[in-house]
Amino acid sequence: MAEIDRDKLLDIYTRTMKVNRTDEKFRQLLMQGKVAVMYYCVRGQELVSAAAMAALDDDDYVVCTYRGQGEQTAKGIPMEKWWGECLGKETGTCKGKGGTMHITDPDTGIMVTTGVVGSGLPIANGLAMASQNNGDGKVTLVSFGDGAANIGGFHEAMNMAQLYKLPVVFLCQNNRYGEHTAYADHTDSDNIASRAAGYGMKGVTVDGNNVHEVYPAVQEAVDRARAGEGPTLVEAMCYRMMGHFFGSDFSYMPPEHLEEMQKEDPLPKLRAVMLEHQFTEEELDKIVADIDAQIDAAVEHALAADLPSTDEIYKDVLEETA
Amino acid sequence: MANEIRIPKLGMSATEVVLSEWMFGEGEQVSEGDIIYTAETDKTTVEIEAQASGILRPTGEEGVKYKVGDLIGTIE
Repeated sequence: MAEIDRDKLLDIYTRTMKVNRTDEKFRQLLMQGKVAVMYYCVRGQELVSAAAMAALDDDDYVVCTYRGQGEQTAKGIPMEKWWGECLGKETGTCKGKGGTMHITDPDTGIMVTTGVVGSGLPIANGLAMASQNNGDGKVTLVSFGDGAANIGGFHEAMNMAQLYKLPVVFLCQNNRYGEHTAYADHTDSDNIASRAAGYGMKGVTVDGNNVHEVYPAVQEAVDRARAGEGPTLVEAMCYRMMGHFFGSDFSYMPPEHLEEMQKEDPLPKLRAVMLEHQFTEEELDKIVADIDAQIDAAVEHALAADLPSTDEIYKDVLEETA
Repeated sequence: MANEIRIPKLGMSATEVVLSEWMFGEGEQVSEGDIIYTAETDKTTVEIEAQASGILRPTGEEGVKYKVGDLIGTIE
């Protein structure tokens, strides 16, 4: 088990709780009917996103999916801009014209959020190829789920990335469900990471609920990519503890599977690790309280903000030429 | 301050939702996290939890179809 220093643990804990508290707040607002947008819950996957973002430099690139809240907030999109975009307001990262499924914030390296399963991988290759050509030293991490591993673009991107030794990290968050379909009903192989061997690429499967497994694995993949040693497929086993999206029927998830998920919940496990490293309950509670206060302020700001004006409709979409 | 209970958006295509059943009556005490009512779209039935603790004041009627965002009660 790799040791992680205290500062990095604190960083990962803070990012993890930011993701979790954002998720809780979002579900609360949706339940109240206060906001009415599509939201894909990340409960159960907070640690994978947080640990992965903690392994990247601030200016590294990320491509994520509609279930991308974890990457987006953990990478550091300012909360006011993030909530502004989710609520479709002009204060958002895309001036309210992207919404929850298309959040882009180049300032923090969140380059694309895709709404199509598996479509992010070839895009990540493009970003990584640009970095390779420019020699800017940046690494691109693309996050996707187990369902995406059966899309053609996955295989094309894996082959190309390995062929050209692109500085990219393929992070598969294997949450056991591809949308509404259980893993065993869409894939017969034991895991996703073993597919990397078919492309001559390094692939690893780790426990995404264990900080001592997921963080070192992503960090090593990032280091390899930055050193010019090419891509890695990191498969983090985790659980999506809710349905595909807020409000969707998830009766297809068996009760015993939901119980198994509760036992593997990454949040109490991470909290226990923090306490083992002599962080106090008070310190950890204060971190969460501070995050809650920041989120509440950001939500109020977003609720009070204006919708984009109609003058904005054609801006950022078409380039006007003479 | 009263906490409003509004009809939630339950899916990409959901614009109208049927208030199926209140689990608590007028004036009853509810706690945050309690399932206070069930809502039904053409695809699914969802249990909705109280987002605050207090006295329930339901105004929406069971079996009636409401638009997403409609006010159906408060928690005082």
